[in-house]
Amino acid sequence: MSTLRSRILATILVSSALGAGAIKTGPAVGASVPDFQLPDQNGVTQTLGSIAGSEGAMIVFYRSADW
Amino acid sequence: MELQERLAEIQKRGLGVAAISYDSPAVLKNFAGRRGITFPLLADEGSKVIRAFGILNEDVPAGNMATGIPHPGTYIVDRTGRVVAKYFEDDYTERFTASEILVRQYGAAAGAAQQTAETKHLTISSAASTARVRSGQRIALTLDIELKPRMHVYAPGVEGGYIPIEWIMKDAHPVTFPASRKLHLPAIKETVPVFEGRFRLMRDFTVPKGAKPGELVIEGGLRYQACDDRECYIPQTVALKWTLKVEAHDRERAK
Repeated sequence: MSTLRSRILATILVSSALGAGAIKTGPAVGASVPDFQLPDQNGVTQTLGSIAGSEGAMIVFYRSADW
Repeated sequence: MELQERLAEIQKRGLGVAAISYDSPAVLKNFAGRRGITFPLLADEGSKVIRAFGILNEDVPAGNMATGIPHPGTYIVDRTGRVVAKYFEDDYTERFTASEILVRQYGAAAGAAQQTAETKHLTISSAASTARVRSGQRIALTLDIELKPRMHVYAPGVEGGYIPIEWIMKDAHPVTFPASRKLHLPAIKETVPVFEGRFRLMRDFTVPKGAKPGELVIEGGLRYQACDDRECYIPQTVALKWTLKVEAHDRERAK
């Protein structure tokens, strides 16, 4: 593991250990997610409507593409 | 990237895919180029959307490079934006894989077949949602069981001296059982919960955080007592084994 990533992870793990309680997981099943409008990697603005297929969408939140 | 590998399968289910992080479009363009990512990577610089979802990781001290990261997780929403399902881990270093979500959410065939065992009473086919894993990842293990004609096994919760089917495995998440059928046994005037025909058992497995790259073997057993319309057979335990390949985490950074 890179030193940078190790250091960041270590900070997060320590802080998580200090933080109390369960993590927040956002809107509950059955509730609606907030609207969003964000640029993608090609600079194209995307919304839920623009990414959704016929049944909806899988929206993945992740830490970072950079470390 | 695992999500990219599963993209066609996810899209086949009518779902679009987008991944959101606090990175800039430039970092995401570089990342997408290096990894051949074709679905939208959305740039939530300033973490406004992460905050709007209510999943900002507030445990990270201000000024840290990680300030603004979300609690990682996945939502499946319908076309109106209503949450149909969501997958979040309590533990920061563990995460759900797309293949695991496909198996769980849609009963998709688990991607990596493992073994088939046959006894006098049934056939068991085991599989994993993916055989290539990384430490901390959560995958789904499945057992597709087909009982021979007229055979049944007992479902959990059965009372009396009957032995319910049991998937024995250390350090794994709980087993998901299908709905059982109530079988009336006229001879002894009892009604008992059973499984018959074909059914699937499923459970998640989190790859240990300390798992080193290389082969990882998971072992367990399936214990059951089978009966047909005439007699009950001696309880048996069938050995189960999954062989996974642990890959190293990606360490490359955007330039």
